[in-house]
Amino acid sequence: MNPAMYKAVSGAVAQMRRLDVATQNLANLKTPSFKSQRLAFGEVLASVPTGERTGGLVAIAEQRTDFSQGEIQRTGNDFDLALDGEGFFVLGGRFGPRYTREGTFTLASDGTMMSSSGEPVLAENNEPIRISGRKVEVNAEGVIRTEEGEMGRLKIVRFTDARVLSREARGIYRAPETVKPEAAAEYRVLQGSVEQSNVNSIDAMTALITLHRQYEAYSKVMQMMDGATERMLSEGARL
Amino acid sequence: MRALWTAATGMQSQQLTLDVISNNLANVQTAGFKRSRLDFQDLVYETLQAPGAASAQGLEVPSGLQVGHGSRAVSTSRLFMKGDLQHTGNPLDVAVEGDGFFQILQPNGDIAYTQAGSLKKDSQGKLVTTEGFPLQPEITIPQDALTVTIGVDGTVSITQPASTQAQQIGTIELARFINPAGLESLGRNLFLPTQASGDAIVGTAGKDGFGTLLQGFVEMSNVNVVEEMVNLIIGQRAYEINSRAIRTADEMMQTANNLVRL
Repeated sequence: MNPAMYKAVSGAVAQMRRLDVATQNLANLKTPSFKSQRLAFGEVLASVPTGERTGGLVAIAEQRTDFSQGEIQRTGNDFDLALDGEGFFVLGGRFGPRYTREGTFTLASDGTMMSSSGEPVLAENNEPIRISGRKVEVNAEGVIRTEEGEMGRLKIVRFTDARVLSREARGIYRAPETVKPEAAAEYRVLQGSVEQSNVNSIDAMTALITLHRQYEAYSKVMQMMDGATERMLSEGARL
Repeated sequence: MRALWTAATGMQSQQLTLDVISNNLANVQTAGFKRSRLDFQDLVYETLQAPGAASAQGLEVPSGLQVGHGSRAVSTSRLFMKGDLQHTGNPLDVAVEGDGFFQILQPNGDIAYTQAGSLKKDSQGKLVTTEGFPLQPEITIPQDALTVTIGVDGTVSITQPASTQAQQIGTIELARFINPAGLESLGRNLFLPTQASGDAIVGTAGKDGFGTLLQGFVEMSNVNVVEEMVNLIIGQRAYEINSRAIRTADEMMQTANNLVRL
């Protein structure tokens, strides 16, 4: 079989993977604090000299998450906390620390501050935050106060290389056990606000169009290869 | 072809957004109405390659490959920003300026909370909501009362033909919640406390951070038409984009089908 056929197939498969990632971004256009994902293909259709026949296959080099800031939208709810700048909130729970930027928090029956999916939000001392009082105020440094005094300071951490984070559902990230986060400094906690998704719909649309056309191009190459093989076979048979 | 289902979840999410926005818009003129917001979350990811896994050459891949399955709606939360106050001149229209809910006794005996303060009198002179649910603590206005005055701190006083002195007959108390966004919506502008909202804290208007009462005013809906229309446009476009992704996935499958020439 012509090696170009394999190259075209690998290219088409890669475009299908791109489609999966692009649709995930589009489906989360309105998901608070969602961070868009991108696939990087090392060098598409470049010859990688690993052997005569497999050279130039298209492979996914890396998946990157764009951790850039999403827009801040005001909601006026005291328990909506948005992070402006770097860092993640830290969530506790049975499975160890989890990290999120989605600050639409709520209260458990005992007054513990919870994430919208039910994990306790951790303070700087790694303990859950219990809230009592009538009115909650959170300042830019993440210190939570009510009229009964200070309830604790939110733990906000950063990673030197955020690529190590893997995603769980619900806007939650998990770090490998070997990686320890450090305290973040360049951030502001905005009470009564929500960080929007950072998916750029125009970028996502453009990705959709280009991957579609590239897929078509690869399929054309496959058809041409197929036609060439067919001709070769029929002319070979005549000889 | 996961993309088809992923985009479908995106369309479903946007459809729900439309439902919530329509409900907000339908209540643009509902006194005391608080608009809702729909929150989304991303669905589980399939990890095709874990970050930090060893690649074939014995090197670690710095970042993994995780493909998601779309989004879903997780919660609607009420936004308790204040609506505009409108002057009606009706002495039994009371608006809360600031934080606080009126307490209403439902027919089943539970207390519900509302910010819609267009009160009425029933046949006995008791202050009730438009549905006839009595205000708590109960306040009964005598039949021969000439004027009713509700002070900023909630004291209700009347004047009667026999005397020139205003007479205090009760106090309207307010309730507040540490997390009002966690309240359960009953419809008819009534809310019930939940675990997330915390228990009601009852107090006097104007004290301890409670709002003050304004007689002769009604708090209008806090729906901002322009904002809702913008959200509607964004939701519709997001819906279109997701449907476009479905079409792209469909056409790619068609291309694959057409590869085979028989």
